Formats: sequence, C-alpha cells, structure tokens
Amino acid sequence: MADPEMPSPAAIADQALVYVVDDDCDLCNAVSRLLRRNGHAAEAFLDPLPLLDVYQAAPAHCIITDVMMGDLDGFAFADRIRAIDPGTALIFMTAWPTTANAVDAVRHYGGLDYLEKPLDEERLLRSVSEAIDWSRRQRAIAARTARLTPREREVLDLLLIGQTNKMIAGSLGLSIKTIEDHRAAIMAKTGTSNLAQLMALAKG
Amino acid sequence: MPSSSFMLPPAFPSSRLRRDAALMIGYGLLFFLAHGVASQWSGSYFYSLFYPAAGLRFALLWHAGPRFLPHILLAELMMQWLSGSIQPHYPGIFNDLANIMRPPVFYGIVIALVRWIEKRNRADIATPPMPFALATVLTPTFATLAQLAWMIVQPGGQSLPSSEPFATTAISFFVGDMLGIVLIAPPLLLLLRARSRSEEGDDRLERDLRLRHGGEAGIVFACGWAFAFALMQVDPGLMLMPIILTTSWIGLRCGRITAWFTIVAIAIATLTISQGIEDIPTRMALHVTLAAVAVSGYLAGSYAEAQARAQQAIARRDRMLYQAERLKTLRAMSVAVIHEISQPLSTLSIESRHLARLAKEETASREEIGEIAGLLERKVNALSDMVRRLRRFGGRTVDEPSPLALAALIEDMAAIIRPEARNARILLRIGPVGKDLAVLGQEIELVQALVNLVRNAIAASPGSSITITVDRIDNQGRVTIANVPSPDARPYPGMGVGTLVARAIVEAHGGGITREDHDDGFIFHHLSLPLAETRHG
Repeated sequence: MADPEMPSPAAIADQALVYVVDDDCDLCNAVSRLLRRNGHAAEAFLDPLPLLDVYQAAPAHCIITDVMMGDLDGFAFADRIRAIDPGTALIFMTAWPTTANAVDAVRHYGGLDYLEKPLDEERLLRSVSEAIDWSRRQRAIAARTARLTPREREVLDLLLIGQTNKMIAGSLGLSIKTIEDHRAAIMAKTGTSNLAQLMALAKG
Repeated sequence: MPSSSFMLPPAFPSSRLRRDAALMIGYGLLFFLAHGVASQWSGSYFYSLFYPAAGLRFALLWHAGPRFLPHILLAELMMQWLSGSIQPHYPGIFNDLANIMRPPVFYGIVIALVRWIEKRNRADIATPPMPFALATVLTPTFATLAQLAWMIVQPGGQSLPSSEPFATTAISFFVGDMLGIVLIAPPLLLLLRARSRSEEGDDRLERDLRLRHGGEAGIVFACGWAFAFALMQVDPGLMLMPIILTTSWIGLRCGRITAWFTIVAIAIATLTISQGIEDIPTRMALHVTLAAVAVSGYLAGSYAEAQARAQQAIARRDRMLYQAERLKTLRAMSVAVIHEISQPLSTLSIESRHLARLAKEETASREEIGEIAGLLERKVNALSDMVRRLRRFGGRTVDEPSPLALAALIEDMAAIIRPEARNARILLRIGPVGKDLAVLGQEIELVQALVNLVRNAIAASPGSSITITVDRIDNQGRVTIANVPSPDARPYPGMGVGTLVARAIVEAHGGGITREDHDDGFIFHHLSLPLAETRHG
C-alpha cells in the first residue's frame, strides 16, 4: 500500500495545491496533514500576510481560511486574494458561525462553503474536492479566453447572456458587421464552431 | 383543596367579628383608664396636657386601618356615656357628641391619607418609618385645627379666637394629644408588630444604629440635662430648650427606638415636675416644649432610620449590580469557551480518526503515533484548563481573600476578554508581568475589575490595539491599560456600571483606579493594588 504522505512524481504533477490559513497552529497543521493524506498538496499558514507575499509565485486551487484572525480577518484576506487570482476557490471555516457571516461568505466573498468548527472531516474533504474542480474549470476557461482582446471579451460576455448580434451592436454602439467579425475571431481563438460550444466552454 | 376553600368563607367572618369585638372592648377599657389618668394634668379651660388615650386611638387606627374607625367611635361613646360625660337628656347633647366623635374621625382621615401617600409615593418621605412619624405629627395637628374651626362655628360658642380660653384649649388639646401619641403609640405598635413578626429586619437595623452610637448618645443626653437644670433655676418653662437639641441629636445618631426611650425619660421627668407647678402658663410652656422635644426627637430618629434603610437598599442593589456584571462576564466566558473549545475539538477529531486508521496498519510509524498522542494530550490539557477556569468563575458566589499572582490574574482576564477583542478586531498586547508581583484579594472580583476596564477600552477603540502593562511603584502593583479611543466608536451602550463596579472592587481591596489623558490621544487607566508581602521580598 502506498504511503499517502509520499505520492508518486506523476501524482505530484497532477496534485491540486491547497493552502490552509488559521492562527491556531495545531489545527492548521492537522487540516494540512489530513489534506495531504487525501492526495492534495497542502501548505499551512498561521498568518495570511506572508501567504499574500508569496501567492503569485504559487497560486493555489483552493484556500481554506479561518474567519476570525489577528491582523487580517478571513473576509479581508479573501478580498485581497480575489484581486490577485479570481480562479482560486475559497472555503471559510469559523468557530463562531452566524447566519449573516455565512451569507456574506458566499455572496460577497465568493466562498464555496462555510464550515463550522469543530470541523466535519467528510464535509471538509468533499468541499475541497468540489473547490478544486471548480478552480480547474475556471483556469481552463481563463486559458482558452486568454487570447481574446478586451472588446472580444465584452462581446463574448453579451453573447453568453443570450443577446443577438443586433442587440450587442446596439449596446456597444458598433455595426452588426463589426460584431460578426468579433464573433468569428472569438470562435477561431477558442476553437469553437457554434454558440452551443461557446456556452459549454464558458461553463467549463 | 376545593373542600377547604368552600369551608373557609363562612368561618372567616365569624372569627374576624370575634377578634374585632375583643379589640373594641379591650380598646374601650384601656381608653377609659387612659382618659382617667390624663386628668392628672388638667386645668381650667382644658382637660389635660398629656392625653395617653390619643396614643391608644392612634396605635389602633394605624395597626388595624381606618376600617376600625366605627368600632373606635362606638367604644369611645360607650365609655364617655358610662363615665357620665354624655347625658342623653342634656340640651347640648349634639354638641357633646360632636366633640367626642370629631378627634377619632380626623385621626382616621389623616391616617388613611398618610397610608395612601405611603403606597403611591416613592419619595424619601414615604420611606418607612417616615410615614408613621409624619402621621404622629399630622393627626393631632388636623384634629386641633378641626377643633378650632368647631369652636368658631359651633352654635352658642362662648369663646372668641382672641380670648385666652380659646388659645389655651386649642394648645392644650394639641400638646396633650401629641404627647399621648408619641409616648404611647410606638411601644403599643411594637408589641402588636412583635406578635405578627413581620419586620424582623427592621429591628436588626434599629439595633445596629443603637449599638453604634450608644456611648455618644449617653454623653449628649447628660450634657443636655446639665444645661436643662441650669435653665430651670432661671425659668422652669424654658428648661427643656436644650433638650430639644439633645433629643434630635440622639434621634439622628441612634434611630427611632433610642429616641423614643429618651423622650419617655424626658417626659417622665417633665410630667413629674409639671405636676408640682401651680402656675398654668409655666406648666403650659413646659408641656409645649415637651411636645416639641417629642416631635423633633421622634422625627429625627425616624429620618435616620429611613436613611439607614435607603442605604441598605442601595447596598443591596450594588450587590445585584455586581452579580449582573458577573453574569455578563460569565456569558462572555461561555462565548470564549465555545470558540476556544471548537479549535482543539477539530484537531482532536481529525487526529484521533487518523490515529484509529494508523492503529489498523502494520507499517504505521511509531514516531508518528507518538507525535499524535502528544498532540492529543496537549489539547486535552488545554480543554481541562478552560473547564476549570469556567467552573472557578461561575461556581462560587464569594471567594476568600488569598495571595494572588498578578500574572495569573492578567492571564485569566486575557482568556476571558480575548474573543471579545477579536470580534472587535482589536489586537491585545500584554507586556511581561513580574512573577514576584502578588496581591492579597478575592480572585474572581479582581479578574472582574480587570475585565470591565479592558471591556470599556474595547468598546472605545474598535479596530485598533490595546496595550496592557504591569509594573511596580513602591509597594503598589500597577496594571495600566492604554488605548486610543476611535472617533468612529459607536456611543457606548452601557451606563458606566462596569467602571463603577471595577472601582468599588479595587477600592475594597485598598487600591484605586485613575485615568490619564495624553495629548497624543492615548488614554491610560491605571489600576493600583497594594502588593502582598512575599517571602522573596
């Protein structure tokens, strides 16, 4: 039986990176070890500020963060991470859960889950798996749309909400012909041939 | 039980009727005796300068309530008829009947009025025993005024308001009734109260007052009489003037019952002296002054007792406030414990499940198992500490003074307050505390005082930091809490009770709390406590 703490090199390349942020050292390390045992590359951080310094060099698929911490709380930390990397999934955990905080965590700070301490191990692992899948989809979309110009991105966003070429031309103040040209460029750059494929791409 | 509740109503009125009848007959007999005794101090134009029957009447009305007025009227009419004061065939019978019935009626009205005020008013004048003291003054006053009015308007009245008989009759009526009430009613009511045993706490209060200043009262009493005897050589009518001051003093310092005994002693001496005085104006002056002595002394005693009672009520409320503060802290502690407990519980849950899995594996590393076991033990110890702290704070109502390390007090305070600080996004900085700094005191109270001060700082400075340092100044240990109040801080929702409680606790330990405002915006609260003698010096 393979040691879960020592995955094979191929597995390491495929591993998702998860950061755990909590000012309780023992809990932070326990959660990181748990994730490593379950096949993730996990790193523990007692303070969110050092993580922000090194984040761009090693962006994660998922960040599990405590809400109440010393200098920078979990929500403020989430805002700063989102500004750097919109493709990472955030999971909040707290020892003092409130309904208002739970709603804020999901609506305003883009959290995928809001976990109460003491942590439910199964739910934590399930949420982390979902978060990694979500992050991978986001990164795939970002990679495929990376070559689009800002104007093409605008056109794509309007197409995805169901607008016709005529409507888009009206909202952007351009001619229908120009919109058709942008649309052709978008299809070419993303390797799609129709609107249905474009929609599927956007959903990941 | 339904059966007993059906049995009670028929039994109740008959027992009450029997009791009322016995009380009425007893009252009538005692009234007859007291009325007769009063004639010892009679004179022309007046019946008596000391009328103990008024005291009887007052006591019964005060005790049984104005509903007993008809019984009193009936008893008094019967006694006056038996003694021959009323003659049914006499032409002025209605005038005589009015003269007999008027005082009890006015006594009843005044007592009902005072009782009504006592129930509805929360002012200091309505604090017991002030209503009783007021009633002792107001009843003879109103009864006298009613008599004056009657003398003016009565059919066939012979005296004029400007005449000597008019004044003499009115004054003697007032003085006689007043002395009768003040001297007779209090002991009678005490006897009645002792039977019902309803106000034991008040007796203890009175005893405390009496014992505290008994010696002083004796000296003042002796000095007063020395002056009185000196004055008697000049004018016997003036001899009681210094005694007014003496009695008021004793009343204020020793309470109502001591004042009453003093008044009785003075009254016995004065009434004995006045029996031998032939000159009516001198005798009248002596009795008027005696009435003034009795009123001022009794009012002063009642006021002192009312004040002591109010202070007791304040002390009781202080204790309740302290308990309320403690509950508030206990609530904060519960929040802290829920927060603190869920962290180690998460770790325990994750690691213990891992340990269970490892136990099933043959290749499990002994080193890893050892590490996990160590971690589990550390977490269990932290949880036990938390439970012990909560039990200590919530379990006892009073703890005994003991030598306490300031470091431990600060640590306990920090454990309680940290979650509140974290919620308010405040960084708590606690400086090093010397291990040799110890104070003698009640642990829970001192932790409470520290918690209250830091809690105030948290409310005033959301989003900033609070620094707590401890140092030694001579033989005092000083805890300093420094913060910069934020202009964005919401108006403090409390009433300043926390600071009051903290100050009361620290002052009771021989220390103090001071505040320093610096120009740079920092506010320093210094909590100083005398250091306990330690073996290490």
